[in-house]
Amino acid sequence: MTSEKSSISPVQMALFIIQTQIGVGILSLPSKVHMIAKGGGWISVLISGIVVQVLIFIMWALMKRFPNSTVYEISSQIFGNFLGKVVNFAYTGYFITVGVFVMVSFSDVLNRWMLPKTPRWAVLVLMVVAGIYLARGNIRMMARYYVLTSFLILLLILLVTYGFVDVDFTLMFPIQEAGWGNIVKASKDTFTAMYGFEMLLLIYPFVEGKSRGKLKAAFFANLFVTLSYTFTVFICLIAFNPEQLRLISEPVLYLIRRYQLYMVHRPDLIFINIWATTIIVTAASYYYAAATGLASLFGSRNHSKWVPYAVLCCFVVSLIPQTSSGMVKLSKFVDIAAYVFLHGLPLMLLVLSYLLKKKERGTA
Amino acid sequence: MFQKFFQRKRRGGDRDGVPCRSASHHLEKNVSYIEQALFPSDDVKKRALSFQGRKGILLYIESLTDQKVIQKNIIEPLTRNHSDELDHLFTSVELKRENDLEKGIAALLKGMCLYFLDGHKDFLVIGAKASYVRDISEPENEYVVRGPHNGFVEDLTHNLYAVRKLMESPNLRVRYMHIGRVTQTKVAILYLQDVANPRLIKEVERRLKDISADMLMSPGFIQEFMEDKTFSPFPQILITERPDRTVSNLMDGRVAIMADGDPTALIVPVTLFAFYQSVDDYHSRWMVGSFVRMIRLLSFLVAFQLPAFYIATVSFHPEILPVDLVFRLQGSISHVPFPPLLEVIFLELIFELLRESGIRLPSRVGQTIGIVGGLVIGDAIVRTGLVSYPTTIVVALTAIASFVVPSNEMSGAVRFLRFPLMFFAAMYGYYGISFGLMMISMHLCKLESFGTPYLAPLAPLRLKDMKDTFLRFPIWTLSQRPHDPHPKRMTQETVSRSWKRRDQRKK
Repeated sequence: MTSEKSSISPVQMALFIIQTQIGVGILSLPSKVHMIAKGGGWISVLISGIVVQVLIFIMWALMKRFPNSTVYEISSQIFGNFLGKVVNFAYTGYFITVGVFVMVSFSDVLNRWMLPKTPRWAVLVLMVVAGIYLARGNIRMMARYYVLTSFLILLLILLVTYGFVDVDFTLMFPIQEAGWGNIVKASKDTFTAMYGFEMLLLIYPFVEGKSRGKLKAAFFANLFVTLSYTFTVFICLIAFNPEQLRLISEPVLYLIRRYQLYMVHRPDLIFINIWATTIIVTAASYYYAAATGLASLFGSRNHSKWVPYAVLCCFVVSLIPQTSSGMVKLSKFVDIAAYVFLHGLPLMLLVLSYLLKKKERGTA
Repeated sequence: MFQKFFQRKRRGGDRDGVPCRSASHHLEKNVSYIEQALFPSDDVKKRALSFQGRKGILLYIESLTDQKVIQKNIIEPLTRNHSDELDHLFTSVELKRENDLEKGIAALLKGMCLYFLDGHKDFLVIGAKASYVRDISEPENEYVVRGPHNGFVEDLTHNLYAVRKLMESPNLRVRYMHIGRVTQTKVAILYLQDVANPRLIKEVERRLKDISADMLMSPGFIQEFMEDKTFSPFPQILITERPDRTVSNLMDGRVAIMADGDPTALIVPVTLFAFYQSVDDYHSRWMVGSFVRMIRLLSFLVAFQLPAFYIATVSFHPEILPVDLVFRLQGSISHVPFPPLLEVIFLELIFELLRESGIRLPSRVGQTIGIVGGLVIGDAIVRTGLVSYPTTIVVALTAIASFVVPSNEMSGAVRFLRFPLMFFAAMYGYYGISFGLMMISMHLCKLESFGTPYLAPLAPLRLKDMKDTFLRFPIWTLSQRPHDPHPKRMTQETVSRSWKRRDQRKK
C-alpha cells in the first residue's frame, strides 16, 4: 500500500530534479561567469552541464546497485552502523546548509527588488510555512505539485526570451577573449547554480520503471536545465555590455526590467514572483532531504514528522548571516561542501561498494 | 482495532436487529400491540371490516396513505367478497403476508395498510402509499439556455424515473439503503455496472454504511459524512439537480447518490474542473462552448485574486502600472481615510450581506434590495469618501466573476478564499499572493476525492483528458472517457462520422 502510494513516474522524477536545480543561482549567473570567462561564459555553462552529467552517471551507478535504498540507507550498509550514522549526519547537515543558502539568497533578492523594508524573518516565514506544507506530503503529492508548477518555468523562459528585442551580437565576440583556461575555470561558478541533481540520491528508489529509464530522465532533466541556463546567460551576454555586467548583480532581472509589457511597466516584479514559487519548491526539496536524513538518524521510517524540525533548523540558521561578507562566507562553505557531498562521497560510496562487493540483496 | 470491530458490530445490531414479536391468534391483542407502539397519534386509523363472517380490522396511517386506493383496492373487494382466498381478494400491487408485528409497524410507517383477521396467526400488508409530487421545474441555480429543462423533485421514485428515462440501459444499477437511525431515509446509489469501477462502488457503499446518525439531511449531511477532507474550502462532491448532468456523469463511470426527500444528486468522484463544466458547453457549438468554458475558468482566477492584486498593487507596487494611471488611482484613493485592505474588506462584506439577504427575501422585495445596494451603497458610499471608485469596480467585478461558476458550492469556496489572499497581499504585496496561491495549489494537489486526484487531469498530468478540461473539443474527438474515475471501459465513441469518410471515398 505505501509503496504504491509513494511511487512516481520517471517524468515526475525529471521534473523533480529540474525544479530543484533551477534556483537562486540563475539570477546572478551571467555576471559571475562574465567576470572570469568574458564572452565565452555560455560555454562554461555547457561545460559544467557536462560535469553534472558525469556526476549523475556516478550517482546512478551507485543507486543501481542499491535500487531500494536512499543514500542514507546505502551509507549505513557500506560504512556500518556507526560510521554510516556519521556520514548521514553530515549529509543532513549539508542539505540543511544548502536550504539555508537558498533561503538567505532568496530573501536577499526579495529585499533588494521588492520588499525593501520587510525584515528577513518575515519574508522567510511564508517560505517556511509553504515548505513545511509541501514537504510533509508523500513524495507522490510533491511530484504532482512539481509537475504543476513546471509550467511556470516555461513562463520564466518565455519572459527571458523577450530579452531578444534589443541585443547586440557583437558583444559576445571574441568568444575566447578570456582564454579557454578561464572558460573552464568559470564553469566552477556555474556549478553552484546547478545544485539539485543530488535529489537523485533520495528519490531514486521511489521511481517506477527500469534503471535505464531513470538515467534517461535524470540526463534529460540536467540537459534541460543546462540548456536553459546557457540560453539565459547567452542572452544576458549579448544584451549588456561588459561594463554593465560588472556593475549589476542580477542581470536577468535587469534584462526583464528593460522593457514594458503593455500595461505592465515592471515585468521583473512578475518574474520575481513566479521565480519565488520555484525557489520555495527548491527549498522544499532540501527540507524533504534533510527531514529524510533526520528520520534515518533517529531510526524512523516516516519523514513527515521530522520536516518541522529540519525546517526550523534551516530557519534559525538562516537568520545568522546578516552582512554581505557573511553571505559570501556561507556561499564559499556551500561550494566546498558540495565538492565533498556531490563529487567525493558518491564516488567513494560507489568505489567502496565495488571493493567490498556490497550490493543490495534480494532485489525484486 | 478490536474496539472498532465491536463498535461496528453493535451499531449493526442496533439497526437491523429490531426485536421480533410474532402475532397471536387474538385479533384484539395484535391490534392493541400496534396501537400501543404508535400511541398517541391521532392519524392512526382503525376500521372494522369482517371477512366471511369473521371479525377483521384494517389499520392504516391516514397521512401516509391514499384514501382512494384504500377504498378501491381494499374496502370494495372485501365488501363484495368475490373470492374465498384472502390473498386473491385485494387488487393492490403490493401484497404480503407477515407474522412479525414489529415489521408490521415499520410497514405501517411506510404507508402500508395492515389487515388482521381473527383466528389467523399472520396478517396482510397491503400497499396504499400516497405520494405528493410537486411540479417538475428547472432547477433555479442550474439554468441552461439549451437542453432539457427538467429537474429533480423531492420524491426519490420520481427522480429515478427521470434518470432511467434518459438512460434505458440494463446496466444501470440502483441500490437502496436506509440511513439514519430515526429518520430511516431511503438512499439510492446509482451506477453503471459495466463502466463504474467496482472499487469505487465498494468505497461509496462502505462510507454510506458507516454513517450512524439519528438524522440524515440529504445533500449536506451525506456530503460531510462522506467527504475525504472536511477541512477544506473546496467541495469534493458535485451536487446537481439536473437529470442530464447526472446521467452524463454516470456515463463517465461515476456514482450518483440520491436521497428521498431531496431534489439533488451527489456525484463522486469529482475533480475541480467538473465544477466548471456546464451542460450548456455540450449543447452549443464546440468553439463557442470552449470559449465560454475558458471564460468560466478565467472567472475562477479573477474571483479570488483580483481584490488581492488590487490591494498589493495599490499599497506595495504602484510602479508596475503606467505613470498616468498611477496618478489617477492615487488621486481617487487619497480621499479615502482607510488603508486599501479595510476598504476592500468593507465593501466585500457589504456585498456578501446583500447577496445573503437577496436569497431570503421574496422576489418583489429583492428588487428593492437591488436598488438600495446598487444606488445607495454603490454611489453614495463613494461620494461620502468612504470607498474609492477603483475599489467599487474591483469588488463588482469579483462579485460577477464569483457567480459564473455553475456550482453554488464552488462559488462559495471561491468567495471565501479571497479573504485570506487579501490579507497576505496587504502584508507582503505580490509575494504574499504568490504564497497564497502556492498554498491553495498545494492543497489542491493533496486533495483527493474517493481516490481520484482533485486536480486531475492537470496534476497528475494527463494530456489525453485535456480535450475536455480547459477546452471542449468536438464531441467526435472525445472517443475516450475521462480517466479520473478509473472506468472499466474507456471507449465511449468510435467513428460516428464515418459517413464523411465514405463520401470522400466515393468522390
